[in-house]
Amino acid sequence: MDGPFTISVRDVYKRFPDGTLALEGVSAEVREAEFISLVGPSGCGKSTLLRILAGLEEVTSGAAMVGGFAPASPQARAEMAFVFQEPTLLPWRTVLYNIALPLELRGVGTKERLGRAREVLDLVGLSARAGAFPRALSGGMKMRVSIARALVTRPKILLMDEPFGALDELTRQRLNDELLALKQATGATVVFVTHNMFEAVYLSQRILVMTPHPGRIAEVLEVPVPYPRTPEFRASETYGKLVYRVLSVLEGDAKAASRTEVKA
Amino acid sequence: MTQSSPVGTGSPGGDVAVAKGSRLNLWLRDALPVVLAFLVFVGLWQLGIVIFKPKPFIVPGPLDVWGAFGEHGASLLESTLITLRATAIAFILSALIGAAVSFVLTSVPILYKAVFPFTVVFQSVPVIVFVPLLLTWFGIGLPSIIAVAVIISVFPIIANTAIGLRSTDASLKQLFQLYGANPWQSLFKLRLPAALPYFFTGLRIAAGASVIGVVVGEYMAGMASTKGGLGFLVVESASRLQMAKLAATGLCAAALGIGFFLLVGYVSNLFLRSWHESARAEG
Repeated sequence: MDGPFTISVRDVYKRFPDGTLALEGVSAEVREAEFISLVGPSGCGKSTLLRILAGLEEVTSGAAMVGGFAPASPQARAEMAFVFQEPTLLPWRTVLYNIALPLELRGVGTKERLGRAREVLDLVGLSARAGAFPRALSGGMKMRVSIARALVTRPKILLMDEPFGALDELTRQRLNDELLALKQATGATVVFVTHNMFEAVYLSQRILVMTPHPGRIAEVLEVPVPYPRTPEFRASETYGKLVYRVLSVLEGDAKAASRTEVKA
Repeated sequence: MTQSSPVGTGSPGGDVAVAKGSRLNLWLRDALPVVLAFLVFVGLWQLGIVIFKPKPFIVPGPLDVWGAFGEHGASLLESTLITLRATAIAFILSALIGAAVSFVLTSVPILYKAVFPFTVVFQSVPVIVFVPLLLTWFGIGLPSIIAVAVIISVFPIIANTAIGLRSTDASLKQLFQLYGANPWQSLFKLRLPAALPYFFTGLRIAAGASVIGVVVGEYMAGMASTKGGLGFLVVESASRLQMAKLAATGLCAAALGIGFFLLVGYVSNLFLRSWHESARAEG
């Protein structure tokens, strides 16, 4: 392994063609192997920031770097994987062939890519469904397959855009635990976008709380609880205080916003 | 190597037997009303014939039509086969032209914007307008007949396939972009398979349309020789006031259309159920 593969964002502005200022002067550093969450209401620019890191959006001004490279560069792309809000599986491919797709697109031979697909499939506990088509799977299983597909290239950075937003609460919590285990097993850096503050506190080492209009980072919170975290963590005082802290930052902003609206 | 999967193994034989039994019941439940309605319709028809006794060249009875099948069986069969052959050629041509045109149109966005509206205009022109033109180009006979059928059946293929090629999921496109897929990979591993169900929808519509197109073509551009398709039989039996034979010809055309539609539906189901590549490889 070479030097640290970190993410850095310097004074990033993002203005959309319609004039909306999605990000205003956002700066952040993500340490190697860190689990960091971007939390905030819709319109706070959290997904835009993630998409900038993935090289799917360009900055209007400022700079985003991944491992010292531009996000859209082949060097950065080789080390990153993106998990979408929806499972985004190819319906005409079985689970195993869906997972092997990234390697296939990069020209890895059939035998090796299927072997590696089986390994990560085992990692997410779905070996028995290797030959199933996506439509035969539940929402939670589809998301596991989507995560397995992201892991098959052994990325150093995993970018996740509200991956569990569409799942029921129990499934979501189970996948939270599985994600933490996978993070521990692979040592990957995870940048996790969510609007769910409970999920953010449970998963992350650090939380960037973002507020909208325009999108900016309102506060950075550390979660001083080591891994592995167990469901009991949800019952702890630290957990409750941190959730309350995120909530008050977001609520404070919302109140401030409504006050300015009244004045105007 | 066959990996034993704990999910869905159970007792396959028993499951299949149960499924077959219930499928037969379902089929009976769905088909019985149709069969009954048909029998009632034919019964009322025959009753009307018995009561009002119309001349057979004005309203033929079901028994007359049945008789026509016996009397003209050979020529009906021959005509059906001739029409079938022309339909198959026209359908395959439509599929090839439709796929090619929709692919070219959707590959060049400006071309799509500029040209696609005209395909709708072209489609709205009644096909008989083209017949004189086609006759001067191709003369009387098979080429003109096929051209009429292609004009009718190519547009549903173009329209559906174009929608399919244009509606590739945005996230999936980004996924391919993130993994540095080249244009060929995006085409063959994403755009074409994603458009396949739409293409087959177009084909199913075209299956029925091409039979109609060929019969219309034969009616208007067929040759008045001893050998002709169903459209020619329509002309012949109408001019001789053989209305029972006309009805029998119509039934043959209907059977051909339904058969063709079912065949295309079956092939499409085969393709979309096993979803090519992945199904083949995991055996």
